[in-house]
Amino acid sequence: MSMRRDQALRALAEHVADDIVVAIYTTAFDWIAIRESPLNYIMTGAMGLGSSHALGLALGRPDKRVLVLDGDGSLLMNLGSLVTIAEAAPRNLIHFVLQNGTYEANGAHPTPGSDRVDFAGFARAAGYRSCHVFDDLATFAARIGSVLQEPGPVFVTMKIEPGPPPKLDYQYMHSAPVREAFRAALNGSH
Amino acid sequence: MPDPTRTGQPGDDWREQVFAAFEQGGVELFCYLPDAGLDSFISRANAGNQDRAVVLTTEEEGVGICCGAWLGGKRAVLMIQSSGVGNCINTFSLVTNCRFPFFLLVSMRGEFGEGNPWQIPMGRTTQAMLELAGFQVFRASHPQDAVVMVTEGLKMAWRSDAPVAVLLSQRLIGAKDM
Repeated sequence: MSMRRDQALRALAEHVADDIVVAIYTTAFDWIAIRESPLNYIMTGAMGLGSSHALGLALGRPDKRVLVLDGDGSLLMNLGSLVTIAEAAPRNLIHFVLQNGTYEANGAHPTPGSDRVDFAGFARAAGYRSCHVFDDLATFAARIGSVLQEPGPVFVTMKIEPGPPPKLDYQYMHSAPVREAFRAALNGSH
Repeated sequence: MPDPTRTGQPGDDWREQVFAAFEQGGVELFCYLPDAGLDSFISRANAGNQDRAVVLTTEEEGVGICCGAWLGGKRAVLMIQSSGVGNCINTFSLVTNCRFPFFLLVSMRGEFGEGNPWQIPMGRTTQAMLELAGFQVFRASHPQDAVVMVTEGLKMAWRSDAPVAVLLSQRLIGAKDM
């Protein structure tokens, strides 16, 4: 079973207030269309670094909740970050992986182990405080609100359907002006 | 092996002065890979405030963490060995594309007195790779170089949103006795 990404992100957005959201690659474009906020931080380069970037934000702003919407291909490139995050143990970090089994932004080729890799299992073994797997929209919508209240680091696998090729808006890609706007918004956010 | 640069007097050790420069420069987070050449800085980072040391599984994680911490209002530095610079190359695009202030401390291997051939390729290419990636690179070969380069390098990184690397040469930190 799996969820449509846009529907699952809409369900998530209902529970997201003034949190920092680090969104990765194709998920980023669905997310910013659903939830407009100066505290959206999108990453479409330096593949794999989303989780590490989010850890830095969580350590830099322990008073803010940080959600990272990671991709399965991206996380495979930086699996060690699960161990680093568990060791640093930020209570304000919630790490989502949107698992669709493909490198969607770059040709939609399958990821290795796409039919069996258990990312939440990796996270549990690394030492995250709690780990969840959702593959059904109704269950996800019903439970995600309470999951977000758990002390981090929390890990959430969202099993989603592969989508159509993304329309990447290179004008809004992560850049110096975008990061400055985000930083200014974050510095003004308490 | 004995360290000829240590005088035995507290405060005279250049490593203590370098770490003091980090603290005076407002560094609140130290990301690092365990490394003998960085031992003194790692120990100091882990002493006291437990929240300021972040041990990594691979160097490129530190690029993301340091940039994220700065966005959140904390100054962070990355401390790695020269071999790890090669691991970071693609991730430096985050630093340059988004003009993050970034400070990198590198313990050099593969140069003066090196006995491990696996360290030599990155030892020979680290400085050039960093320069190609857009870093301002300062190479410290004497104890006082290290102190002043870290002091001024931190200022340069944060005042001009620039990536700065200070290389601690193997002649300075000593070759590992293999």
